[in-house]
Parts: sequence; structure tokens; C-alpha cells
Amino acid sequence: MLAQQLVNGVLLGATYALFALGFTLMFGVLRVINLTYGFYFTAGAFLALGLSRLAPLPILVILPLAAIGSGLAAIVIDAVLLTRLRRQKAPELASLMVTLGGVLALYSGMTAWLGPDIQRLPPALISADAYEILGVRVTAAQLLILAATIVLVAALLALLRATRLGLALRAMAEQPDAAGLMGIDTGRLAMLVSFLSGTLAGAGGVLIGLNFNAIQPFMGESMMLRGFVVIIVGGLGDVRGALIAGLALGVIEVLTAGYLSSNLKEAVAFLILVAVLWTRPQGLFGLSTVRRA
Amino acid sequence: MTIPPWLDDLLWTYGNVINALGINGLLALAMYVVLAVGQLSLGQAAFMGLGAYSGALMTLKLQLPFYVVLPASCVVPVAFALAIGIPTLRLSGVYLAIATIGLGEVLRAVYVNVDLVGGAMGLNGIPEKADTWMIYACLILAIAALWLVGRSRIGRAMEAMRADATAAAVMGVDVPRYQLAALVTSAVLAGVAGCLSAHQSSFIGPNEYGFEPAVTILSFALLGGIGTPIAPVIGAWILTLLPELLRGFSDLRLVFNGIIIVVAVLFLPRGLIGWRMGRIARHARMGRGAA
Amino acid sequence: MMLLETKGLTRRYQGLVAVDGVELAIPQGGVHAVIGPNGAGKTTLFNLISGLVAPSEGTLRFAGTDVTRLPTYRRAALGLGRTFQNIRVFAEMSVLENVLTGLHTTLHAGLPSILTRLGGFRAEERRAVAAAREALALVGLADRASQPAASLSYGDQRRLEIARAMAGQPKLLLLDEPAAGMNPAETAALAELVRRIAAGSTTVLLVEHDMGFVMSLSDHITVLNFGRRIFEGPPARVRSEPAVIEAYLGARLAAKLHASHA
Repeated sequence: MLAQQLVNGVLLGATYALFALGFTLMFGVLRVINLTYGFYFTAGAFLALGLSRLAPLPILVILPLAAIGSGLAAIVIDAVLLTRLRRQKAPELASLMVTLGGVLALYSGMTAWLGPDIQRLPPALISADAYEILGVRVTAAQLLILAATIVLVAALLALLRATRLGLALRAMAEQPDAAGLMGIDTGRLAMLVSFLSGTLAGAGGVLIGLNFNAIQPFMGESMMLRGFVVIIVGGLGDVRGALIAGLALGVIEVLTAGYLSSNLKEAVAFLILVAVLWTRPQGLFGLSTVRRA
Repeated sequence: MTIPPWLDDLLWTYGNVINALGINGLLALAMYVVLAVGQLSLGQAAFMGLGAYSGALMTLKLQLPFYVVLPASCVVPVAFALAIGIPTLRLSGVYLAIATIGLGEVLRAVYVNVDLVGGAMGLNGIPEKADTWMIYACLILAIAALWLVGRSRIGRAMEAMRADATAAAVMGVDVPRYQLAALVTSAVLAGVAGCLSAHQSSFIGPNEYGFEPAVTILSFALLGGIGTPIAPVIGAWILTLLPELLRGFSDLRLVFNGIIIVVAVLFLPRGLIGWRMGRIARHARMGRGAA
Repeated sequence: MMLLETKGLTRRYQGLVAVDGVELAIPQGGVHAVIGPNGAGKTTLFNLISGLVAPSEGTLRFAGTDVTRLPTYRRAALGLGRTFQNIRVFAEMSVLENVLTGLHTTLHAGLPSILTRLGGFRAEERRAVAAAREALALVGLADRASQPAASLSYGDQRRLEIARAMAGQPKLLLLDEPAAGMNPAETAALAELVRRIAAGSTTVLLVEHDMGFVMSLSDHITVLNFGRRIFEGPPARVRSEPAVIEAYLGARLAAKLHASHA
């Protein structure tokens, strides 16, 4: 029973980590708490829904398409909302407010268009089979989550660590003026980071949509609460911290739901957030930069 | 006290709208005090909910008189403001915003689960003890108090730290303490607004204090501006009346509020009422060469 | 007793030592200057003194109090004023309101008296406005009191910053590159203003690149290089100190200085 819950928790936590990774990357490099980030999660899930209704494509085609579509949406939304403020070097709270207004309009517009009801992905999209491994039941959706998370996180870390571009991103996180010194156009950098982050969020949306089989416009908003908890517990902008904190949060939520009540998941996550702010505001893992990728 | 017949008609016909204008005005002020010190809290809807629930419980379960309930309804919101404000205000501005933005949603999940507060059904049959004059008395008192504080050393310190917190600290302003005081004031205003609204609509439910009202309250202040305490109240009035006039578009009300925030921050940073109040008490400003 | 005294003051940034064991002893009165080439740690030193940056090591005493761990606002209350290298006036506030903000630590009206306008509130505000106008007169901005600070010229904004810092009559005034971006006439007027300030009860400590300004004005000079103090003494000796000339002035500047001195 406990082993089963731990496995479920780790797999749920993997999506939280994936989601928070894009969020912390965005903050680390662009220095903006971008609240539209949750919308890319919703967008990923709905794009997957739309694509699967359009044509009977396999999930391994739909997942990357929906993720990339969310990444493209992120580029457009970032350009509309934040270009002007970036040029003015506006205070960080102005950017935060703009993205907050933007995300309310996006969610509400989507609700007005598609309705507030929960929608479901076609059952044919992924096999409902479950496998017994050492007495623990694992569904095909969970295996997909695990595989997709490992691939995406590994790809991101490789990008940050082993490429010239990654070096530029880390330099930018360290020293905002560094990009200019290295001859990198901040506008293009913003596009790139938005795309990467949006893709991660979109993939997270598809995976969570599969796992819980429930898609709804405001799903990104409740995910954002977890995103906040993970990036603050892990340390703002800390990639490794986000991974560890994401996994831990998944486990804690599953255990809370199992032993207390599933409605208290959010409250427990929030208590952790406040407790960390009181005791270790720089995050549990110290230094808070993308440098520690 | 006799009410003239025309006013009586007006109150009877538009009573709910008139009360909503007053309550939303108080909420706009709750946002104003925090923005005025250069911070962003999105916890006002949550504070409002805490004031509404704690006030309604005091009336229903303890049968306390309303003149005790109304001031006491800020206790719980203030406790939450302190618990979140003390750790976050030592840090940069994004922390307070992040820590408060989820508060409303978290509390909703808690309300739904706790039988004492009526669970998913909410609380019914709250006696309608808050009338229109009480709401407007609170609103006018709040505006007057904020205006007087604005024209004093505290008002100057508030504007200074909004403009440049480092320079304000060098002037000797204890920036975190003022910011915490602003957040506590915000919790008081929102808590009172919540208690008043609970005692004039007779019903409160867990879904009224989440993410959307939190952002809507921000749109009040950003539309009106924060140059004076009147400006955010006018912003609230516009955004409360507009949906009444445009009932056909009620689906798009929140879309509109969101767009208002975007447009205000990008193109109208001072709000519709951009006039900025002076920071010197009137008598001192007039008395030239008093030295 | 020294007005400001630092012992082993050190600040490290991830492997880089910006200020390295600096010993500073500023007596009461006069004009003191800290000079050094770019990156010598002058601004970090000012930020350490005003409490905007916490020291990695060392102690700081000001006016007889150990202020090493005190936050910025408490140091201001003890009589420490400063200006900034990049001007930081409150742009939307009027000139007079800017200076009144500088009087924050001298005003004590509590909330009850502010809300009722009773209990000495009116008298205190009147006194504050009078003191602020006096500070504006000191820097020559008396007739600009009601203008928005942003409408002032660059040089006037620098003077406003000085008036704002002087309003509370600080014991020590830190001026961070006060002559930066000023033309010769403005610089001369500024030197005159600094002399007038130092003639009162305020001690001046300044960081400045304009050597003529520093040499003509200072009673005492500290030279930093790579975060370390390499010289301390009167201006007359700075010119002849080989270590300073070698480390800081360089041949070209040294020649120029001799020419201006001749």
C-alpha cells in the first residue's frame, strides 16, 4: 500500500517537477514571474484534445505536437504582454501584474469559448493496461509520464550544460547584462526561453490530462499553486531545487490524499510554502540561480 | 430618522447594486494601501472570505451583537496577513505576490472540508444586519483616514518607498515595517468588507473568494489609479456598474477585467484618475515662511 | 573618538573581494575623500557604511555605536546621510516633499495624532516644512520647492539629493561621485556647497573621480586599490606618494596633475 503510494507520488511529482522547471527557467533567465505560464499547461491539454479529435494520431505524435504548440503560444503571449515592459526596464511587479491580467483574460476567454465542464481525452489515445512490477501497479499513462519527464529534463539539462546557448542562458541568469555583453539579442532570448518553458508546461498539461483523464480551462491555475510551492521550496531560479522539490511535493500530496483527505492537498502544499518562507526563504537548496543546472 | 421617499425608492430598487458599490470600494482601498507602498498582494479576496466566514460564525454560533462582530471580523484576516507578510516582506516584492495568490484557492478547499463552516453548501440564513449607511460610513471613514495619513510623514514615506525602497531606507524609513503595516491595514479593510457583505446577502459560499475575485480587485485599483484614495474607489465603481449595464456580455466580464489590467499597466500606469495627491498637510503648505 | 571607524571591513562576491580588510578612521569635521581607480571598491565601501550591503567580515562603528549589524534605516536615525552615484530623487514628488522625506527620522507624530490632526501634529509639520525650506536654501533651490523633482535639471537634481540628505542634519554625509556629469561651473558651485556643509556640524565623506575637485576640497584622503587601502593622509602627500602614483594615477594622469598644480 505504502509502496504503491510512493510510486504514484513520485510519478505525479515528476510532472510537477517538469512543470516547475519551465517556470523556474523563465524566472531565472527573464527575471519575470510570468503567471501566464499556467495557461500553457491548459493549452497543451486542449491542443492534445483537439488533435486527437481531428485525427486518430498516436500519443507519441500528439504529445510533442501539443507541447510545441504551447511553446509557440508562449512566444506570442510573451511578446504581446512583456516586450514593452522589458524595453522600459519596468519593475518586476508591473510584469507580474500584466501577466496576471493576461492569464485571467485567457482562462476566462477559454471558458467562455469551450465551456467550464471537464472534458476527456479519447480512451483510444493510450492503453488502459496496467502492469504489476514488484507488487506495484503502474499504468501505461504513468510509464509515459516517467519516460517523457526523463527525456525532457535530460534534454534541458544537456542544453543548459553542454551548449553555447545554455552557457548564454546561465550567464544571463547570473548577470542580466551578460547577454548584451555576449552579443545576444534579449528579444530573441525571451522568445527562446518562452518557447522552451511553454513546451515544458504544454507537455505537463498533456501528461496530467492523461493521468487524471480530466481537462478543463482552469486546470493550469491549480497547477500554478504547485508551481509556486515548488519554485519557492526549491529556490527561485534553481533548476536542481525545482526537480527535487517537485518530486517531494508529488509524494506528499499522494500521502496526504491517502491518509488525510484529498481536499487538503492544496492546504498542505501551502503550509509547506509558508513554513519554508519562515525558515529558509532562499529555498531549501541554498543558491538560487539557473547556474546550478 | 426619516428617509425621503425618492431615496427610499432608489434604495429599494437598486439596493444590491448600491451596497456592492460600497463593498467593492472598500476592497479597492484594501488593494490601494498595498500598492501604495510598492508591494503587490493578491490575498484581498482571501482576507475578505476570512472576514465573511469569521463574522458570520460569530453572529450565527455565538450570537454576538453586530457592533462587536464587525470590528472582530478583522482578527482572522490580520492573523493570516501577519503569517504571510512577516516572512515575505523581508524578501523581494515577488514573494508576497506569490504567497498570497494561492491563498484564496487553498482556503476554498479548506472551507469545503470543514463542517463548521457549512462545507460546500456554505453558510445560510445570516441575519441582514449590515445596511447601506453602515457600508458607506465604513467607506467614507476609510477614505478619510487614508487621505489624512497620505498627507503626513507616513504618506511621504509610503510614496518614497514605492518610488525607490533603497533611497527610502537611506532616509531612515523602516521599509519592511511600513509594508507589513500596509498589508495588515489591507487585511482589516478586506475583512470588514467581507463581514459587511456576508451580513447583507444572508448567504456565503466557499467559491466566492478565489482567484477571480482576487484579480478583479486588482483591476479596480489599476483602472482607477493610486494617486489618491478616491481613484481606486472610482475604478471599483466603474467595474461594478459596467456589467450591470452590459448584461448581455456577462460571460466576458472576467475577460474584460483581465484586459483592463493589461491595458492599464502597459498604457495607463497612473490609471484613469492620474491626479496625485500632495504629501504635505494643508496648513503647513499654506503657512509659507513660518520659520 | 572617531566619528566613523571600520576595522578589517571586507566584502566578498563569489570569489571576488570587492573590499578587502579596509581600516578607515574618519574624525569629526572636515572633508574626507576616498579615491581609487575603477573597481577599487569605493561604491561597495559606501554601501557597507550605509548598510545596503552586509560585510563578510569586519566591524563598523559610527558615532560611538557598533552599527555592523544595524539595518540602513537605523543608521540614518543615528545621523548618517548619503547621496547616490546615479541620482535617486523621488521623481513624482515635489522638490519640497523630497526634502521632507529626508526629515523622516526627526518627525514623530503617531497615528492618532495624524488622524485627528491634534497633539502637536500641526506644529511639527510646520517645523518640518520650515526646516526643509532651509535645506533647499542651502543648496540654492528655494524657489523650486513646489516643482516636481523630475522637472529639475541634472545638476539641480544632484543638489536636491544633497538637500534631502542634509535636511535631517546628519553627523556624516556620504557623497557618492557628486560631481559626475557636471560642467566646470556646476562643479565649482558644488565645491563651494560642500565647503559650506563641512563648515557646519556635518562631516563630509566623498567618493569622486574629478581629481581637481578632490584635491582642492579634501582635508584627508584615503586611496583604495583592488579593495585594499594603499594610502591615507593629507592631499599634499598623495601627489608625492610613489605607491599611489604607480597603482592609481599612472604616468599620464600624474603629468596632468603636475601641470594643473604648477
